[in-house]
Parts: sequence; C-alpha cells; structure tokens
Amino acid sequence: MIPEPEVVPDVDVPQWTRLHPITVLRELAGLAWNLIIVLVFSQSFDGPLGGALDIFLPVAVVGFGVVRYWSTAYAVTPQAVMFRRGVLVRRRTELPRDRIQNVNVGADLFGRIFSMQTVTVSSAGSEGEIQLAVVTAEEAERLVNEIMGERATSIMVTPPFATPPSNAPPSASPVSSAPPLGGPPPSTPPLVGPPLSGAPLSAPPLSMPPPGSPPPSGPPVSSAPAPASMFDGVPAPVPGTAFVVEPEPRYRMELRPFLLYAATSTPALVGATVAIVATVGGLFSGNPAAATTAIALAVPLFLVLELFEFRLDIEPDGLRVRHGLISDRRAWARRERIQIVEVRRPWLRRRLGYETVAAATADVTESESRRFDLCAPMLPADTWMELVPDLIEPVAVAESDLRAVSRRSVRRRWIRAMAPVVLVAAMVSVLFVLGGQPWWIAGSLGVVVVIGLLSWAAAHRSWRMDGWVCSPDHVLVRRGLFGTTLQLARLGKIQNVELRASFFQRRLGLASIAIDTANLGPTIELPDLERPDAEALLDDLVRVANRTVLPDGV
Amino acid sequence: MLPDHDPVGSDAPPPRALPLAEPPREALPPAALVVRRLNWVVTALVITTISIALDIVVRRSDVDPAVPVAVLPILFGLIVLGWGMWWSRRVHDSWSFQLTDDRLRVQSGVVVQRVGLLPRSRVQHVSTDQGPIQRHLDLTAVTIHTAGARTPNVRIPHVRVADGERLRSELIE
Repeated sequence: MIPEPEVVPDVDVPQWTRLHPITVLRELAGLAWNLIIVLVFSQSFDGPLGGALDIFLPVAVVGFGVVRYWSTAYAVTPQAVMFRRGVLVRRRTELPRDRIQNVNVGADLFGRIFSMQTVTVSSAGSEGEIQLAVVTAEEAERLVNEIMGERATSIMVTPPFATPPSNAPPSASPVSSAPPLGGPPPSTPPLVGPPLSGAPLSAPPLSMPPPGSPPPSGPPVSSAPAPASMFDGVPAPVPGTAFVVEPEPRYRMELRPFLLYAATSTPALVGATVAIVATVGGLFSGNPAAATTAIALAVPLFLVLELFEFRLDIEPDGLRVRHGLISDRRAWARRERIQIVEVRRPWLRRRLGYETVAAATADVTESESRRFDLCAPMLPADTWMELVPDLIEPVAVAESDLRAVSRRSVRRRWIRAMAPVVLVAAMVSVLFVLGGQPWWIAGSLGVVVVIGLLSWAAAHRSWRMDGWVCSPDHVLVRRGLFGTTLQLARLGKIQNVELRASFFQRRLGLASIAIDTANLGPTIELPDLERPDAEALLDDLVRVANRTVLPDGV
Repeated sequence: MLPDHDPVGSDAPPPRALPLAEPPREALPPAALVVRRLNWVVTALVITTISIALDIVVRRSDVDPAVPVAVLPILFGLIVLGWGMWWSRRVHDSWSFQLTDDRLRVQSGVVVQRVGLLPRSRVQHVSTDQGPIQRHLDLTAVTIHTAGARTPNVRIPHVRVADGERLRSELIE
C-alpha cells in the first residue's frame, strides 16, 4: 500500500476578514458631503423626477458606502499583510511581513465614541501603507501582536495576590538596561501557566522582583520619581478572575513637565503671540478680540493635548508609544528600523532643565503623522544617554567626546551672515545717493558695523556649539546656536553620503559631509571639516556601509 | 578616519591597503551639453517674449522710453542666452560618475560642489527616463533609488542609453 502524499495546505492563502460593521457608519460619515450635495441637487427638479431623485440619489450614496464597506477586507498570512478595497476599481495592497516598518494604533473622535481603533501598517515603500479603520480594541491588539511577531505585553496575575517567594530569579531584561523601578521587565512572558520555578500556582509570578527592591541596573528615565510598585493605584484583583496589568513604562511624562511643554511648545507660543496681538489690537481699536484670542489659544491647546499622558514602553523587539486625550494614539516601531535618535534642546526648554528625545524610523509613507517620532518629550536635561541603549543599542560615543569643526568655519559663517546685510546696505546707500541724501550712508555703515560685530560673536558661539565624533558603529553630531540638536546615527544604516563644498568653503579648504539614512527626517550633516579629513571620512563611511548587511535595505 | 576602537581619534592612521586599479571617471557625453543649451534657448525665448509683452504694456501707460519698442527685451534675452551658453558648459563639465566594485561616485556642481558616494549594497532599484529630445539624441536619465527616501537619492542626467543600461544592470546585480 503506497500512502497518499500529504497535501500541505498553502499557508499563504489569505483568510479575508472584514472590518467591524460599525465601519459602515464611518463610510457614510465620509460620504456626508456627497449626500448633502445630491440632496441639494435633487431639489432642483420638481414633479415625479424630483421625487424619484429624492429617493434614488440618497439611496445610491448610502448603497455606495455599504458596498465599499462590503468590498473592504484584510488578511494576515505568514508572509504578508494584505488589504483589498473597491468594486469598480479593485485595489489590492500586499505588504511583505519582513518589509513592515511600523504598526500604529490610534482612535480618532469616531473611534473614541464607538470604542474602536484604527490600525495602520506601514513599510518602507512610498505607497506602502495599509489602514484598517475600524476594528475593535481586542482585534487591534491581536493584529499588532500577530504582525509584529510578539507575544502579548499584558501580564496575567493569578490570585491570590501576595509577595513572591525569595527564590525569584533575577529579572531578565535582554533589551532594557534600566527596567522600570519595581515593575517586571518587558520581556516577562505572560504567566498563564505554572511559574518557571515550579512553585505553586497560588504564588504570584516569580519573575517579578519583590516590591521595593532596587532595579538590576540604573534608574529609570522619568521626568518624575516612579512609583515604588507597579501596582500602586491598581485595584486588587477579585479572587477567581484574571486581571490584566500593564507594565511600568520606560518613560512617562508627568503633569508638571507636560504643562511646561504645553507652555513652551511652538503652537502654544504662536497662539499666545497671536492672542496678545489680537487683545492689544482690540483694546486700541475698541473692537473686542475675544473670538480671535480664544481661537488663538484653543488651536495650540488642542495640538498640545495630543501628547497628554505620553508614555514610552520598551518591548523585546521595539518601542511602543501611547499618548493623547481626545484621540488615542499608539505607535510601535521595530528597534532595528530606527535610523536616527535626535535630542532637541530648544532654548527655553533647555533653560527649564529639559530636552526632547525623538527617534526616526524608516517609515517613508506619504503621511508624516504615521512616522514614529517622539520618545520622551520632556526628559531631564543631559539624561538622554540613559535612554539610548533602550532605543537602539549601547553606544560608544558621548557628548563629551565631540570634536570641534575647523576654526576657519567661524570666518565662513560670518561671511555668509554678512553677505546679505552688506548687499542690502549697498542698495539702500545707492537709493540714498540717488535721493539726494548721501549723509544717510553713514547710518547704513553704522548698522553694518553693529550687525557685523554681533554676527561675529554669533558665528563664534555657533562654531563652539558644533561638534562631531565617530566610533566604528555610530556617529554623533551636535549643531545649533540658541537651540541645539544632537543627532545619533548608526553607521550601518547609511544609505548615501555626500561631500559638499560651497564657494566659500572651497576658498577656506573646508567641506561638509551629509549622511543619508532611510528616514523621513533631516539629513545628518557634519559641517566644515578640513577637506582632506572630509574626503577620508567619506571613504570610510562608505566602507562601513558596505560592510553592514541591512535586511530589506533599511 | 574612523577609529577601530577609540572614539577620540588616535595618533596614527590605520594602514591602508594598496588601492586596486579603479575604473576611470566618466563624463557626460557631448549631446548632454546640446540638451542643456537647448533648454537655455527655450528659457531665453520665454523671457524675451514676456519682456516684450511688458514693454508694450508699459508704453501704453504714457511712458516713452528713448529706445524703440522691443529693443531692451531682445537685448535682455540675448544676455540671458549668452549667460546660459556659458553656464551650461560649466555645469556640463562639472558632471562625472564612476562605478567601482563597492560604490557609485557622482560628482557635480559649480557653485556648490557635490561628491556623492552611494554604496552598491544600498541600491533598491534603478529607473531610467527619456524625454523626446533625449530620445532623439540617444540619451537617458538614470535615477538610483535607495530605501527610505521620499525623493530619489542619485540622479545622473543625460547619459548615453547604452551607459544607462550598463549602470542599471550592474547596480541591480
């Protein structure tokens, strides 16, 4: 008897799943304007035709929304995430799993009302984005875990709740060098079965350190003291029921830093300026400017509330960010996809003792709102190095290692600042002469001299703030005069390097190097190096890039 | 330049291997200069036409310049054309590219010189495009795409079609 060959099912056959039925309402909401237009249009016709249009057109629009919902489906296979939509024009998008950069989960106002989520899956291609709107929160969590290939980050605590035994193994944290104080490490598996050490099921998870115990290494990076135990404020579980507890975040923006951020953010400063101008103008003109003032303050407040309750969680393979008051925004990013870590120090924020850390991934979709960006909006100043190992990896460069750029750079910066000033002064002087008032030339010269002195001081300070340093694996660059920015990049992520030498730089024997990575953000620029050093560094950077194999090129 | 282990630069540079014979740098073909100059001719014609129209409008508002109509616009157009002829030669001469075993080197720029090094391991795909004038002159533009860029990283305009095909096939391999 020859056995029949086993038929191996094709694992990549998609099992299409439709979005939640409530999506029909969302589709109809999106077609609201169309509905209004056709209703207005139908009023132009009288008699039986008008009556028929009054019924047919709205039905057609509603039917279109229903059909569009019916034609929309998604599937997750071991190889790819698929999405299809459309009846007349059928579009099917397929994102290979190994090309996925980020998975974002958020809820706009519609989602908040109906407790639904929007899952956005993006890749490194210019049209590589799939948006699933809307799904339930449980489905969103399941999709994220399935797509990102991770287990659930929630922890099941089996009752009764009690102090864990003293033979608890040390918390294993292969990713984070500074696990949250008093909380379990992110790599803790969900404890749905017997604890690892074989202790009775009634004992709490063994991988949790005893409450109040010091962390294995380093303090957490938080803008405020972390709670002594992750269970602070969490109600005790009811015996006999399962209880899901979120781990302590790696970073959480507390109330005071949030208020300072709100007060010092660009939208708030612009809104405050507009409000002041509107109010003062209203007082002088006698017209109340209450409406303008209210709008000027409300719009930036709305934008700032997007960062309410910001938290950063470190997971084995990546990072997770959650924030928002009106809209619930969540973003995941794979650690290996992070291209650049940026530390921003606006002047006012720096004076208040804070800095902002952001990470740019290789997300290259058209919508910048999907880009994974902020990691810690208000971090205590000069503590960013404690967060870097959790964001990417331990680095061998520090701000104290920065090398100064060429001193001749001061001259170039000053010439670049003064060139337009001299040009404008010359034009104004010519106008004065043509206008029969040559004595005003002295005034122009005086202004040029004053601006020249100030520019020289600014150029010198700017030169002192700029610096760079390279290790075999990373490059760190600092730039800025009043607000400085630090950029840390992995040399292995280099996509392209370019040496640039302007006319003035060539005269001074200088050149700048621009390093491109696969992120949407700015290029890293090493300014005003000595020309021979720049050419040698250019060659070395390309050799490092070629030596590093990147999965999918990012 | 990059240290092996010390982030703060060491005193002696690491020894370098003797460089292998590199392929020569390739300049753009002469037909590329023709395309650039044709573009400037069109630009000069457009500017002259607009200037003549403005001249006519100005003269209708009771302004009576000493020179006859259209003389100044034509003179301005000739200046633009002369500048374009000279400038296009400078830009054309600044372009060169070189494909080695591990990188593509592209140099260009007159006011701001740019030397771009693109590691061959980072090439995602290569595209070529050809306008009607380029088609007539057997030219094409080669665009090399890397990951993550919203706009192409490297673009070499006006290479011979055969050179474009060669670049594309060698970079994709």
